[in-house]
Amino acid sequence: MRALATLAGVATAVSTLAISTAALAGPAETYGFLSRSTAMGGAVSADATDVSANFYNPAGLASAPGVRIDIGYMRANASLRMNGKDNAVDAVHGLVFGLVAPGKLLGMPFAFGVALHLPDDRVFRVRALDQQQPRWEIYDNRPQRLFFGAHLAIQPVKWLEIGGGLVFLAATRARLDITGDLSLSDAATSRLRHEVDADLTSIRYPQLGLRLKPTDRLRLSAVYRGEFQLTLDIEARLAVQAKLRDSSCATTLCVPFFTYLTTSSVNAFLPRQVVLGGSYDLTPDVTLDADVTWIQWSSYKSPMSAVTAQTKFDPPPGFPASLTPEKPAPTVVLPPNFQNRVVPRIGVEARLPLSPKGHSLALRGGYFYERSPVPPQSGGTNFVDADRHAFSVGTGLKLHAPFTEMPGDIHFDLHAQWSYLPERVFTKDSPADPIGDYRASGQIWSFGTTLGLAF
Amino acid sequence: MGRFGRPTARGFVARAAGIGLVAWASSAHAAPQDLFGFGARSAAMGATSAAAAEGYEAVFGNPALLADTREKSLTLGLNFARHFLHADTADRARSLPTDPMKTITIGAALPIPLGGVLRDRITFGVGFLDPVKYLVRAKILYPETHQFPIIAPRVQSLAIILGLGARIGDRLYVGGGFEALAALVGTIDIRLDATGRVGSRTDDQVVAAYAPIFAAAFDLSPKLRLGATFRGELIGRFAVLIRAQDLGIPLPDFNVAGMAQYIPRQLQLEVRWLERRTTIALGVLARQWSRYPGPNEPTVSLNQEYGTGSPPFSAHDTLSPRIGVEHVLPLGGKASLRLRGGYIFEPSPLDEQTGKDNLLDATRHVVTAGVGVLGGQSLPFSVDVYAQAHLLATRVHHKDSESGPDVTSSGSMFAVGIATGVRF
Amino acid sequence: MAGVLMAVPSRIALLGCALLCACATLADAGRGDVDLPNVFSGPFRTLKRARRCYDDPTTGQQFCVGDDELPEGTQNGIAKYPGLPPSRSPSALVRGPLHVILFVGRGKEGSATDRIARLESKDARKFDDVVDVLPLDRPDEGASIGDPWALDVDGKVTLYYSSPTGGIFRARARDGLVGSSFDKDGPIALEGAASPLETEPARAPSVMLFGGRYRLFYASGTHLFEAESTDGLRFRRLGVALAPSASVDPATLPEGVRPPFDDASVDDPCVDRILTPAGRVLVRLLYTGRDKSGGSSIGYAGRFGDEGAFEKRAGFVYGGKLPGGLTKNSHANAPAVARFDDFALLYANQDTGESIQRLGVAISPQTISLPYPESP
Repeated sequence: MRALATLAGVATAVSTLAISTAALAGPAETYGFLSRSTAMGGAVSADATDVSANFYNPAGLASAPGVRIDIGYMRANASLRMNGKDNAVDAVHGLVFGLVAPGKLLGMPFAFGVALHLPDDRVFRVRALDQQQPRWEIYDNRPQRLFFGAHLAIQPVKWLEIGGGLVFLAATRARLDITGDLSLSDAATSRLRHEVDADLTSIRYPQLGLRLKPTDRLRLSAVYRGEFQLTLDIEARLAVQAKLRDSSCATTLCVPFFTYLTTSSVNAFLPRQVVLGGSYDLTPDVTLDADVTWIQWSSYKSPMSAVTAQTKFDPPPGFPASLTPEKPAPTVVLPPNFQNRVVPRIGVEARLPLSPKGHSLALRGGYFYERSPVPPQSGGTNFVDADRHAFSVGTGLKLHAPFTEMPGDIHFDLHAQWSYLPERVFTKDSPADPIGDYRASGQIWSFGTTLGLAF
Repeated sequence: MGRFGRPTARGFVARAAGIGLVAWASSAHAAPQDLFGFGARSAAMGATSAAAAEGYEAVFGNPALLADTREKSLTLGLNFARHFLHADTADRARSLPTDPMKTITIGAALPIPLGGVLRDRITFGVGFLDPVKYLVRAKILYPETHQFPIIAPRVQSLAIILGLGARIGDRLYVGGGFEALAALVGTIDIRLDATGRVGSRTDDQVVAAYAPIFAAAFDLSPKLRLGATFRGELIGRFAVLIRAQDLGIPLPDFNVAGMAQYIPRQLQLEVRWLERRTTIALGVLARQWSRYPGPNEPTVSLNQEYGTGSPPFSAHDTLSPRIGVEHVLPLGGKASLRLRGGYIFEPSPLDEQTGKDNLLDATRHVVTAGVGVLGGQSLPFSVDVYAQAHLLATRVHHKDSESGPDVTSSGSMFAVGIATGVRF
Repeated sequence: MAGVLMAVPSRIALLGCALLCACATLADAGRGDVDLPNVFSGPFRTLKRARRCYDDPTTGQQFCVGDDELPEGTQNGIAKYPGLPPSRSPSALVRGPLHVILFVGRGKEGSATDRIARLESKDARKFDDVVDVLPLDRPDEGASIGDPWALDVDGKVTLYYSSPTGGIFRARARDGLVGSSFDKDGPIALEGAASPLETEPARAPSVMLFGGRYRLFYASGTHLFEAESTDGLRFRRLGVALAPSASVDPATLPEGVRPPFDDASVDDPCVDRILTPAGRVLVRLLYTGRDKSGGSSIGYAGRFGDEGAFEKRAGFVYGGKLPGGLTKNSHANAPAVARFDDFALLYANQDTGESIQRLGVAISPQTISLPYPESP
């Protein structure tokens, strides 16, 4: 029976690990997840053992000292400008929530974690613009989405932790079918109907994390995050009787009109990433963290909609030639040709004891530099981006067992992050370009707070 | 605030308040569990749960009862369901195509180790019901197409359920919160770009609609428990506006929209009797289907009179009684075997289809059964299996003279599932 | 914390209130596309009259959708000005936000223009103030004058115009920047060897002034030419500025790819010069392109710097069918541009290929909407 229990336990844990879901990144990748980790520049892949480990390195969940629940709110306001004019890039704001539940499974340290960033106004957004329309590619739409993760972690030996799951995301596919009578003289009075067959299809990608503890003061980490994207594929079929007037086909010109439109686009692309990190306790109360993230931006997919339109319209003699539909050429999606980048991050935390009871105050700071992966936009695309220097600060108040009902710790964390995007000049090869030369620069302010209960 | 309104501070307050509370729950689309129940134990016991739910399953059935769970647990389940739906006319037997349902269930319960007067009183639960292939599916057919709109589309949707239950005193349990459902809205503007090639500007969003959940349970005696769960109306609308003004022919804006998923407002009342090794749960689920506007919307917004079917859609409220039984057999002191069974009577909210529309449905009889093995303290695992048979009563839809031959609807659904769990 | 936890009853009440009002989240369509860079040289979108009102049968009330970008009494794409005779070949001066003065040729419908008129509008779309400012009264002007080009020089509106037989002429305003009465200076001189392609008297002038030098673009035959001057009257020829595109057999093109719209001739230059945000000189040239089937559309070409060849943009920037396809081909020609901070309005002849002659108006970027004040 014991063997059966072991088998069932391991099977359940491993199976659950295999289907644990995490819709990664988006807001967390761009602006950080939870106040402590964000304040430390996100350089916490070797240091996060709280709920934020769901994003930074799920292996760290195994070191969680106890059950912990975090809830908070974040907001990032971007002031991104082209030619000195603010382009009104949407703010990112939403609730952040998560928990970690450590325990022992058949004697082995084991933990389960859940994390959520829920935007206030949408679950996610797929947005595809005209190919030539300038857009802040990294900051405009990519952070506008849910982040949801559920992970497992184990500690097979004292110096090693392993965590992970599969990344999960939804691809949207829709088939739309429209039939009926189309009035050419007054389109709004057309008698049309439609069918819809649409779905959000599950897509899963792997995510794995390792955490090594060679000494009591040093921790090392390695994280692999798979590539994923939101896709939107829509087919629209229009099969109607086009009537020149609202009268019966027997007495006026009436022509079958068939159009088949397809649009396909990719959004919220997250490139494959590998993170190597370290965390070192300079003193028992001061920790220095550093991460280096390799990001495979070169596989970035253009968010441009690839559109095809086929029409069939054979007017009879006498039908006005001006009503004959165009046969436009299909879209030619130009490759974005982004370049791979290495992002260095550094963070520091100093914990100041406030009382013998265990209350403490933490001061945190961090910095990271993201060199823009976007190449010069001298042709038909206008993916606008600039290098980013992000400075962050934060503080955290820990109250230990403040009252009888709360035997653990209460954490109250705040962070602020300022991102500076120095001016970048884009020039065009062609003087006939419809967009022309432009300058891009900006800054982003991000704030957040987290309330954590640790038991 | 209309159901398709803009985001407001009030919406934020709803969520913030929900998360900030001791008792809250969130469910992103409850359709599959509304049909089959959530969790292998509930599904085997006639989808009873408002008073009989145990473990993580309570996040859906009655989040207040999470407070009864005092061990951390993690559960993985697999579920399969298959429809066999028929719409026959005198000259033709017609089997309707439907997609089989395959879902994965993940559930966890986490007692919150507070102290003092809150010791052993609050438990957090989480549940996922993830279709293997689709997260959400919207299938809106022409109204005259033979279809079962109440049961067929409702098996393809993701559910994410979070809950927190609290025990107040020794007998009262409270829980509550909200459910969420995904909807897709957006615009697609087909037009020529600066180079004369056809392009599009697409802005589609998956948004969430929320509705409240309130739940409570009360132990009249150690044997007798009353439970009640209220869930609000949830509307998952698909709405994409397509503009194509550059094709050289005057086209109206196409409002490709409809009700992809709809969960009516519902109230579940239940009583559970525990007699030594036997549990009996008896309840009723009231659903307010009369607010369901039907699946179809006009294609041309300025021509509201066309495209929604004929005669106008109507549905009426239903009362669904159900019973569930569980009997425990000890297995050598280290584990126990649990035998389960149940029955649900599901009346149809849709009238006979006498016009051109064929939005079919019929009274459903659901027979459920299952078995589970629950380990003791030394064997922290569980295995549960269940099976359900949904039998649709044969129904003749007598058509009027202009609407073609009479249609006879019939069918069945079968569902099976397995769940394994560990406690840590 | 105890306070928080003990406040459960009040919070449950709050939750109840909040959840009872819970509703769908529906975010605005994404922004991030405000004040985007653009050279405001097309593609242009025809301004429209899109407001429609209906009676709601259930409430009995009227509801309206859409915005009008043009005033009542006009059709899609047509600027409003009083009656006949029609206005032709506009030139635009911007005097403030949406404050536009157009100089146009006017004449009997269907015949050549015989005067220059001034049209003024405070909304750029409805031109109530119309006055003839330059009559045909010189013997060397022949039987027709038209194709005006206006620019401000030394605090005066300076008008260049052309005659089919007499070439290009100049006049200067007596009332400064108002431009309601003019003194004629007579014809300009084009010096230097004429290109063999310059087969007709110069017409359709477009002039820009920078660094104290005038740069003239004009049409002759099937090409556009360029000339330079220091006084605005005596110009030195610089050669061909723009040639028609080579003809392409449509059968050799992929489906949906249009053949060149300007393989017969190029005409009616409309030129200006800017410094790009990167500090480069960009000369913007809108022109009429005519194909061999007789159709015409507006094209665009650009050039970095003040010398060298222009590069054409593929396809026309305005033309083809009018919106909805309910009318004939626009046969757009003779462009003029009024440039504002965030958009540009294109005025052009918008004929239907028959005898009807109208003045069309369109906007770039296409994504910008310009609701007319009458539309609530």
